[in-house]
Amino acid sequence: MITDILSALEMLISVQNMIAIFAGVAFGVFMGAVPGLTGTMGIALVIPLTYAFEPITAFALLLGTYKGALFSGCIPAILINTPGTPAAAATVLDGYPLTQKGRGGEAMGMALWASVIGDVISTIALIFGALLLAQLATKFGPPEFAMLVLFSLTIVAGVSGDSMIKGLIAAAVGFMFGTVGLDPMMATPRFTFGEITMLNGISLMAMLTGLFAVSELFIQSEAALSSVKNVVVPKAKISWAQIREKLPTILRGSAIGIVLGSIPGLGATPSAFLSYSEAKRASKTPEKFGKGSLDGVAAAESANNATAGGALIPLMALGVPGDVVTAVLLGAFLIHGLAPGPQLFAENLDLVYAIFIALLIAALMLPVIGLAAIRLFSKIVMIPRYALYPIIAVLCMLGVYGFNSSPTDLWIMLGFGLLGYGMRKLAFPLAPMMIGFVLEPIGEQSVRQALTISSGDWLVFVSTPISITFLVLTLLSIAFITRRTLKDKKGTRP
Amino acid sequence: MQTMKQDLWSGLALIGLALMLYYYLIPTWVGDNTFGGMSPQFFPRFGTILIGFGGIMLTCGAILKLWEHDSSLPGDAVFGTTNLLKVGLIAAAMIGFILIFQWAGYLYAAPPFIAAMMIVFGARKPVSIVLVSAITTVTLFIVFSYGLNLPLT
Repeated sequence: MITDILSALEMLISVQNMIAIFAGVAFGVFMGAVPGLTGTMGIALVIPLTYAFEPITAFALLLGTYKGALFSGCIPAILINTPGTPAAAATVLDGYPLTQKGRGGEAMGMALWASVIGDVISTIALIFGALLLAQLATKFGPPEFAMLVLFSLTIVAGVSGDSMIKGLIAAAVGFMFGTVGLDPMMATPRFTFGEITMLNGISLMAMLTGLFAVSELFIQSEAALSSVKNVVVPKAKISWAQIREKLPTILRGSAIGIVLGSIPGLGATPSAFLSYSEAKRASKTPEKFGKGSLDGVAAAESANNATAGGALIPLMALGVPGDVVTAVLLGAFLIHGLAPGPQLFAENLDLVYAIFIALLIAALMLPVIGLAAIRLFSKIVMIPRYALYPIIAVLCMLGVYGFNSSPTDLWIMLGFGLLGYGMRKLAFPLAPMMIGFVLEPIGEQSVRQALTISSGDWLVFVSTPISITFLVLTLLSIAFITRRTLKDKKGTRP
Repeated sequence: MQTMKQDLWSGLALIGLALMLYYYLIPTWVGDNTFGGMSPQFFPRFGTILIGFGGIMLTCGAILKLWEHDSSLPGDAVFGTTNLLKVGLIAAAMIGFILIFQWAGYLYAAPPFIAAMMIVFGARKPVSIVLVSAITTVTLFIVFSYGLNLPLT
């Protein structure tokens, strides 16, 4: 273990990687702070740029972007009553009233330090949680993997938003796109339509850029694009005594963020709201919540940022993405030729440790970059959208083209952009489609390998305790989802 | 109300897609090599059944909801004409970029594309349109060609 950690440090500690972490956090902070831009879009834009980098440099940049965007959604939430990210919606409740009272500086300071503390705690939880889970996962063979993928597909329901059926359809469509190209066992062409460029399947890069960045451009073109002007930005100031006083709230929020973040399908927004309501319940002055309470800001921000470490646990240890961002990050791993899960821990433990250390460094860089971003917010928010979105559009094009030097990928990206736009307008969630696409090859290969080993006997999937456990979890997950859907219908029906 | 109608049409379209996949696209474009393991058609057919099942559920759900509500009630349109026009313009600009990029190269494709996008997104000052187009084109060319070593010509 010590050797691996030393090897990880040797891999990570370089000027190039430190710049990558810094640039990632700074870019993420920018993407989160500008309403209309999202962290997912930021990661989708950065992935093509990492093509030429070493994996550790690439992930330093990508994870920095993820963390930066998670934090900075609070800046417009507190200063202009507009959450930069959906997860920052809970921060608005008390952050903006504090600004109205002239205490915006305290709110910003509390948001920043609650975010940093939540982030550090969740990264430590990730390190221990992922290592333990990955150790268990080393016992997995093809049948266990197949059952794990089946279980993972049921979590699609968790990221489906309002309609489980639409989530299922989106996952099935993604699953179908995953079958395009040569089949993994006998190299039979599928849906290639005689095109040689389609033999390798649909480019993951083109798909995720189209779905998450280009479709966002289409959506944003509909919005009334007016830049915010004349924002008074207070200096972020908070005393250690105030932070110490709010520490129980921050720790509670961090714990909630880690647990809810690690459950596929939940993510940052419910964590922030649950933490907020728990803080209000535990408070001696609950009447202050909603009118400008530092506790409210601390609770929402610590939970929001702690979800990052939690969400990365199933991704790193099992290769199972639980939300949109981790689905995109899984895509980034695959693009760099790495498959998250027990194999990654077995074959590239030094890289795994290097990623963990990079996450800790990113958390420690957050105060510096966060403070600068708060100071520069009045300038950031004034960048005209008519200049920003065209630049993003060109970046999408060049990123996707640069990856394979293939113009076909540009057409695929545009196709997925239009498909993503249509899906969003018709309230079909995008994350299940991405999850279905990414999991199809893994699941198909595992199922067919298991059936080859067992000479076609399907009972191989219930032949070991681990695969039986996943089958039971799958059934429980379906039962839980069905119950929740029926309950929701009862509750909403007039 | 509009959402329910959209769901109904989406569901019917998905059922149509599933039928086309099952009876035409899979038999025509997926080889059926059953030598060992399973057929390469198994997973595409499994996905198709899921799409068809989802389409049926969506259609039934929408019909039930329309039955319960007064279907003559108006609602907000999901796709507005102005919105579709903007999306169409952006898509057309992207198509133009890809075609010019393939035939003439990045330096010819980017400036008109950026200018068109800026106009769609609300820019009206010719000077800023020209400046942003030129500066962005050159900066990204330098970043990709020299910084990331990805040739764009």
